[in-house]
Amino acid sequence: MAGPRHLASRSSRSATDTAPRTKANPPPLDPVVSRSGQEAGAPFEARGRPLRCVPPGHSAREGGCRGAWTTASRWNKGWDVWARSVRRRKRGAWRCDIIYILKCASSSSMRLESRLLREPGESHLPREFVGPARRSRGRPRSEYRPRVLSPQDVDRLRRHRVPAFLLTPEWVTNSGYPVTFRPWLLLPNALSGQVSSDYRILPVADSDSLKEPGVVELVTFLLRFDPLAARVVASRNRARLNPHELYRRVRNEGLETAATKVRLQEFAPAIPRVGASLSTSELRWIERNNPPLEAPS
Amino acid sequence: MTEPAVAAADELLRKYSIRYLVVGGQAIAQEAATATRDVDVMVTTADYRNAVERLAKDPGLTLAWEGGPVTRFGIVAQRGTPLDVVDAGVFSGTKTAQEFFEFLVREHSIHVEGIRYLSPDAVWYTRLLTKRWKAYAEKIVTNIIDGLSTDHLDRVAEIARKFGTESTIRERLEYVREELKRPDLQQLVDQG
Repeated sequence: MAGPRHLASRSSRSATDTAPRTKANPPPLDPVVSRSGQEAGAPFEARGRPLRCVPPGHSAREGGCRGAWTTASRWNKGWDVWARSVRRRKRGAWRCDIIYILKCASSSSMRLESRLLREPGESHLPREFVGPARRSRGRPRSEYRPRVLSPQDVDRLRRHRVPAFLLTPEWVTNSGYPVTFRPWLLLPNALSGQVSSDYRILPVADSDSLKEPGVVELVTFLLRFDPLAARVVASRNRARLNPHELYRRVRNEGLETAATKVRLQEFAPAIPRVGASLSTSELRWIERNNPPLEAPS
Repeated sequence: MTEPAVAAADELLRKYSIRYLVVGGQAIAQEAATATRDVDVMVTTADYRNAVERLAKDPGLTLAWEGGPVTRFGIVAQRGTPLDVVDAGVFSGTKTAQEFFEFLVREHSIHVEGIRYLSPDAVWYTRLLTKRWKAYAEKIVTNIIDGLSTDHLDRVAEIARKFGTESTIRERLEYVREELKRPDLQQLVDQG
């Protein structure tokens, strides 16, 4: 089971990350439960594993997980686990975790879930930004459910190293395809259910693409809901389009059918052809019919 | 608020007392997202030739091309934004262009700030009757993702029944419905 490693790498504070917490360097809103693994001596990549692997509609055990809840003194990288941790208080201070682990046979029917968590000290976030938090009894960490109602909220999430991005019509228009649509909030699949928002949420399989999205990523996102726009943006930004990157993004999102429909192979020949394509004349006509906006004089 | 290009087209068409309906993307834009900048207007077959001839002489327009039932002008004041004048007869099936036009005015149009726009179902009907219907089917799917109800598809079928274009439209509607069954699209449509 491939865990979202990039989430950990974006959110976990490394040993060298000792800069004081300021507005410019806020504590992370961890998209994964990392601390338990960290204290148990987990390797860095293991900390990026999701807290739960949940077969849709079933409990983990019903979904093919084996074994029993047990304690573990260290993180076992080889296991795909459904883990929960309980902290014990020793002499007035939180000292260590006991990790309960259910060995779990991963299966393709499982979906990964992540949680946004915060430490008790990380409470300086504006109240309106934080939705109802769930806090287990006796647990020092509580669960976040950020409310994202404005572009500023998205920026705030990004500042806290949560991979989120707002796809706006202005971005598409500035990329050469004048269009209007209600903005989409792009979130990794694992986090798409963990944020409250008035924006429509577009789950993204490859959350790496949300780090610094450029024209390749824009084309990939557009393929999801407006393949014709994706085609025109690709065509009008051909010079800036890296075919290898486009191939990689399209494959990661599983968008070969949509890419074939608008003949993106013209820009990234390696993309496998899946399904039927629109005729070249239809695609040319779409491009001609919606010229880019002229720069204001 | 009326789009500046639509307002400019309206001014020109009123000058010559041409009765028209705004169709295409600008009509869809009244209810959903759209990528269009051009203005498409529909006139009856009886008015079409006369309208094109009058508009071609107006200094506020440049004639881009004439293609049978569609003539494209550029609106000078709008940096050449295309104005397509479309003959309603192309879509009227077994009835006259006049009957089709009046039907649209009566049952499938809305009046916004003095300008009459076609409803989305009627726009989809006209789009699915063109030779580029597959590209338009993609646009219809995008409109539905953006929040337009799939009920409009049923109304497209009703219009087709009324004007005897049912056999053509049925197959094309089926194509759109098949597209919408894709699981990845379903998730997006549900949010619309």
